Parts: sequence; structure tokens; C-alpha cells
Amino acid sequence: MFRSMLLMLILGTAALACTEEDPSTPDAGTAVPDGDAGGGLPDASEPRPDGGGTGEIIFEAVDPASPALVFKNAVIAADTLTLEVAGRGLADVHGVAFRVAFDPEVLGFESMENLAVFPVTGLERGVEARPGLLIVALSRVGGGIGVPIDNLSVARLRFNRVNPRSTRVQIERAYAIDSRGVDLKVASGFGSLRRN
Amino acid sequence: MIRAPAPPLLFLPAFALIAAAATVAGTPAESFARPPPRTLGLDLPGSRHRSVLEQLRRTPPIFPANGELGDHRLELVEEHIQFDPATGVATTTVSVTITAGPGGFSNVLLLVDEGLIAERAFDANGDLPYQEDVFFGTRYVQIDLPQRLPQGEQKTMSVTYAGRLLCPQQGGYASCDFGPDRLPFANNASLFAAIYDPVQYDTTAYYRRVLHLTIPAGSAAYVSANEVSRDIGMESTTIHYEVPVCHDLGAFIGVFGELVEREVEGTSIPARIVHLRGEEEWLDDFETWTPKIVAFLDEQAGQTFPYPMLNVVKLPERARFPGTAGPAMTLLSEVYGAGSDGDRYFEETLAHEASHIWWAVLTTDENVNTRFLSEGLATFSQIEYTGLNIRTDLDHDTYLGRRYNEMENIQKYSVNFRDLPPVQPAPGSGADPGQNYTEWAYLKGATILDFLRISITDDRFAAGLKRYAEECRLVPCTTDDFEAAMTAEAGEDLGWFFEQYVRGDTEVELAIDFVATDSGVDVTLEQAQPVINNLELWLVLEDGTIEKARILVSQRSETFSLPASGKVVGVRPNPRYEPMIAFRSANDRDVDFDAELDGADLVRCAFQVGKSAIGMDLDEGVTIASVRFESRCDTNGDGEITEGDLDTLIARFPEVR
Repeated sequence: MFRSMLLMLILGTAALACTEEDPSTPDAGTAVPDGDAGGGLPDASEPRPDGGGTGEIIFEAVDPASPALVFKNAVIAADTLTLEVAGRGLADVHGVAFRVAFDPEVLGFESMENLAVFPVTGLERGVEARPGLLIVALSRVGGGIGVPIDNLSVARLRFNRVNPRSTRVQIERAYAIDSRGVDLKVASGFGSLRRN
Repeated sequence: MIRAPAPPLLFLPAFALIAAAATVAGTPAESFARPPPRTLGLDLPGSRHRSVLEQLRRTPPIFPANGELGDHRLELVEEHIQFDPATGVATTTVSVTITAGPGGFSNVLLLVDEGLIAERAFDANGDLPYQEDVFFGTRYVQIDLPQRLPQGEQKTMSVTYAGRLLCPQQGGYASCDFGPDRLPFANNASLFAAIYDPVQYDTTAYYRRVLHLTIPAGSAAYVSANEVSRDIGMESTTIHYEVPVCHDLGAFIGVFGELVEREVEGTSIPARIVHLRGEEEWLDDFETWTPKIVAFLDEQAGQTFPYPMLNVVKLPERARFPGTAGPAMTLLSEVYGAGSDGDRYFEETLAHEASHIWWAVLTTDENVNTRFLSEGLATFSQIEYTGLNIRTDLDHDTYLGRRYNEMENIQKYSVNFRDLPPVQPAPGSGADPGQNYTEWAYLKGATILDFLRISITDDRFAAGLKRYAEECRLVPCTTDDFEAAMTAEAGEDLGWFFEQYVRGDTEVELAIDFVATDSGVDVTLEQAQPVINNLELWLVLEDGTIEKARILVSQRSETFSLPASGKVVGVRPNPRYEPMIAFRSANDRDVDFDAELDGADLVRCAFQVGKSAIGMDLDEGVTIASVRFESRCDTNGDGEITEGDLDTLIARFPEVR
């Protein structure tokens, strides 16, 4: 399994965002079970009060094999978490849909921004169906036009950090349709927000 | 309803006329020998057939209305024909040998083109009395024996004709395209004679047909028969043909003119492509397609064609008859190659026509009121051929689901198959599809066949088809024999299927709900009536993987516990069922059977915006109905998916469990 670690350091209350992938730390060696893409939030780490230690808060994204929708470019601030959802290994995409499952006691969904891979005049919906479950649809409307999506972010999700505990954020039911209307098999990535 | 422009005139072999004439009650009797048009226009065989039938009702010709139909045995039809393809002038002698059945025998009725005038009728003892009449472009000659032939006795009777073919639009079904670089065509009841009495009703009346055809030097002829020998002279050539076992439920056809041939390599029996000299467009394609088609049909029937040679005739676009098939011969016009994706459609329609050699010529349903195992099976075959040989980029189930989605859309937005007669109507029921002949014979027939296949599994259906070909090859058979073959290979009594869907028109609506469990899923199916169905369900796992499960549904409400290797997030039927069974998800706006209205539903329907159920997407189907239109996105049911439909879904989005 390909793993990448996206880091954000928090020093005190001063947020210094590091949103670039750090090639020097290809694997954070976290305890996230390999292949655990079974959904839900089974891997929430032991809750730890923020500020109680000196460790860094990181968001470690774990990517399945391509093609997939994965988290990318995490930005962690004291009270917010911003995640981008990116496509990887998708050659021809007319639209994508996915869900994001998170612990509503730790994160509160605030907003979704369409990053314009699909026209802003197209289908653009991101609604929290119930606390902790975001349902997203992004697509062109009509026609048979597809775009390649490989390491390209399609949406930016903004969460409030309502609780400093570690938590897991999971993309679920990733779906894409190509320019011919054929369903594409797409895997779902996930990530963990935790203290390093 | 949007309808495309009328298709080219389609070919109606003579036997259709004969059969239509024989069905006084109006039972439909049409030709197997017509590829389905890519239109649902009104100028179709159905309406044309209806006009023939109406004509016959108004002005009956000189039928032998003496109760003699049925039990006499036609032994031999032997013809000596001199024909000039450049002018259409012909002299012919037709000899018919019949063994009298119970009650004796006193007359025989021969049909030819109206331009051929009867000059004499005779037997071994001299002249015989006869009467003739021209009706609807066909000349009927009835030989009347002075004395009734006793049961069991055999007699040979002959008629000589002379004249020039007139090829009326309806009646003879020949093409008088005479002259240099033209391609005249002749069928039975035109240049070749058709025998009305008693073949249609004597189910053992397969017979031997012999032809001695003389044409001028420099002309060529290809006839749907086995060539035995030829005598080449300075002025003319005589070709001797034979069809060892023949019946009149198929066209006896020939093409003439400046024809040349090209051998095809890679076929299980020798094959050649025949075409007009100088008209070489599509020849390379025919040469590529023919081995694939023959191999497909060999596999489908489980045996090779029982002929020494297969003739594949490429007809010019201007041909008045676009396509047909007969013993050892298939013909198709370039008109099928027109338009976008024309090469795919041309290839699969050639597969359709060639399949008729099995599914109409070699195996024939003796019931003249059905086209289930001729046009239905040929349309089924063409779709299957394309899935296996052309659209190999798609999963076969997915491809078939798309092709039969066309049939689902036809039913929802054009003609409901259940408003048409069953594919095998009850004898004497008078069932008539009327102007919806194409939908009934081709589309409904193929849909029921694929429904049967998915119900008993593809492998068992394939074995059943091979058994049917083996047991019914040149042996009188009916749909009952097909049912028996399928039953034998399925290992179960298939009466439930044939009663519900072949001899009946059972409407089924099934509601699907499910609950994921630790070991798989509990699926609950509910229906208004306890209809029996053998279903293949697709269990969709969270990662998109599909696991398949079979269940037999027979109650109004049943719950099935099915194992799965992961969390089940959707339960849907194999899409090939959907033309015949209306499935309802637990959520009425759900598109993909996960019982929710979620992002995937919106994205699927966003793709559909701008699509029409009818009149679009000519790229993959056999009609102008769409293969890709997803009717679940059509929230107002108007046959168009618009942003308004998408907004209707968005207004309720999301609905998850």
C-alpha cells in the first residue's frame, strides 16, 4: 500500500501550515491497519487533550491502490482542519461522488469548496446527511466530456475542530463515471488526525 | 413520440404472403428474413403485412377451399428455368410430386411472379386442366386433377410458364433490377415457384428441391441451394442445384448478373463473398466479418453448417431488398453500413441474417403465428455476437444490460411489450401485433430469450440452444420442442417460464429492500402476485465489488439471507432482467439500488441530462430508442432527462439510511 504523510505542525496556538507532501517522511509508521478501508470510524485513537504534550499534530493520509479518491494537502489549525479530496489514476472522469465519515464529536463540517475540476456551473453538492456523514456529488451536467484526474484535487473540505482528540476521517463509497457513462471502480482513501 | 424517417423498403418473402393467406383469422405471418430496422417508424413490415392481410380478406384468390389442406405429402419440386438477368425474360417448367393423404388429392396451387404466364399443365398422361388468377402481383395457378388421387398414391404434375418478371412491390418479392451492372433478385413465388398446398399444414412435408438453371454466357447466378454440377456452353450455362431437405417456411432465393466472388479463409466450411463486379466497398470488411460470424454461429448451434459452401452476398445500397437468408446463403445490403457506427451495425446485422440459416432455415417453427425462434432468436444472436466480438471492451453482462436497456426504454416510452401478443400466441387466437410487428417479432422475442437465458444461466441456455439445433435441424419443430431442449439442459421444468412469458404476458413488479448483516445481507422481495422468477442478484460491496447470488422467488413476500465477503451497500438485479421485471428500490428516487438517494445517484443523473429515451443514441441499438437512457433519472416520466429532473432529485438530496 502506498502511503504518504502530510504534515501540519502546530506549535502552541500559532498555526504554521505545512501543506506540501514531505518526501523525507514517506511513511509515518502509524498504526493504521493496512487495508482497513472498511468504513466507519473504527480506528479513533485514544483521546488526548490537545496542548497536554509537546508532540506534533499531524494528518496522515493513507491511500489505497489507484484509481482512488484520497485526502491531500491537509491544513491543520488550532480550530480547523482543511482537507482536499483528490483523484488519483483516473483517466477520464465526468463526475465523482463520495462520502466522508468523521467523528462529529471531534470535527464539525463547515463547508465544501468546488476546486473547479468540474465546472462550477455543474452539479456541486456537499451535504451533511447526518452528523458525521458528508455526502458529496461533483459533476458536469450533461454531455460526454471527461477530464483526467491524477493527483488533482476536486474539492476542499473545511471542518471545525470541536475537540482536540485524535480522530479518523474516512472517504467512503467513492464513485466516478466516465465520459461514456461507464461506472469506474474507485477505491477510497482515509486519514488520521493525531499527535505524532 | 419522436420517430425517425422511414427506413428503406423491406423485403417480404413470398411465404409470408402464403402464410398470411392461410391465416384467415388474421394470425400474423411475416418473414424471418428481415433485419430489424433502426427505426420505429410506421412504414414497417408490420403495417405492410397488415395491408397484405387486409387485401387478402377482401379478395381471396382461388384457394383450394375443399378441405384438402394438411395431410398430403410434398415429395419433390423440380424446376427447369431459363432466365436472362439482363431482360427478366424467363421460361420455366415446374414439376411437383405429391403423395396423397387421407381423403385423396385433387389439386395443387403454384405461385409465381404475375409476369410469368402459364402455358400448359400436364402429367405423364398428358394435359391437365388448370385455372389461374393474378392476385396482388402473384400468379396463382391451380391444377385440377380430373380424378381424385387415392390416398397413398403419388403423382407428378407440371406447369410451364413463359414471360418476363414484373416484380411487383408486394407479391412476388423479386427485384427487377435488370440490365448491365444491376443485380436482380428472385425469391420463391417469383422466378422460383412456391407451392401453397399442402406444405403449410403438413408438418412432415419437408421435401427435396431440384433446380436446373440456364443463364446466358457471361451472366452469373447464386442460388440458396447446393450446386451439384454445371454445364458450360458457348451461349449459356446450366447450373444444377439441389436442396436435399427443404420447406417453404424459408425463402428460396437467387441473385443474378455480373457477379464475382471472393473466397474467404478461416471458416469451418468453404465460404465466399459474392458481389457485383466493380463494387468493392465493404469487401474487406465482409472478408473479416464472415469467419467471425461463422465461428460464432458454429459455437451457438454446436455444429457447422451442413452445406458444401456458404454464399455471403453483399448487396448494393440501391437493392430493393435489403437482406435475407436461405439455405447456404445470406444477403445484406450496404444500406446497413450507413451512418455513424455503421460498420458495427452492418456487421451485427450480417450476423443476424446469417443466423437465420440456423434460426429459420435449418430449424423452423412450424407454427406460422410466431416469430419467436426466427426473428427473436436472430435479433438475440446479433446482440450476442456484438457483445462477444465487437464490444469486447465491456463486461458482457454490462454490455447486454445496456443493449436490453433499449428494449426497456421502448416499453416505457413507446410500445409496452405486454400490449402485444405473447411471443408464442395460442393457436387460433387471432393475435396480431399490427403495426408493432417489429417490436413483437424482433425486440420482444429477443428480450424474452435473454430473459430466459439469465433466468436459467448462460451456460445452460447455450447448451439448450445446441440441443435445439441438433434435435430440430430440418425436422418439424415448434416452440414446445425448444422448451423441451431448454428444460433438458436446465435440469428443471421450465413450464413456469414459458407459461408466464412465452405463452403469456405476465407483468412483474418486484420491490427490493435489504439489510446488511455480519455475514452478508438479508434481502426482502415483495410482489403483488406470486409470480415465479429465478433471479441473479448483484450484491454490491462497499468497495464496489459485485458478488452474485441466485434466488428463486415465488411468494408475495420473501426474505433471503445471502452470504457476502464484505459489507453490502446495494442489492440490485442483473440489469438484463429489467426489460421484463420492474424493480423498485426501497427509496423511490434511488437510481443504483442502494436504497438511498446519494451522490452517486446525482452524478449518474447529471450525466443523463440532455438524453432522450427515443430518438437519440443511434450508436449501439437496433432502433432509435436509447441504449443509455436511465429512466430512473426521468423523474417526470416524459422521456427526456433535463435539469428539471436533476433538480427534483437535488431537492430531496441526500436521503441515506
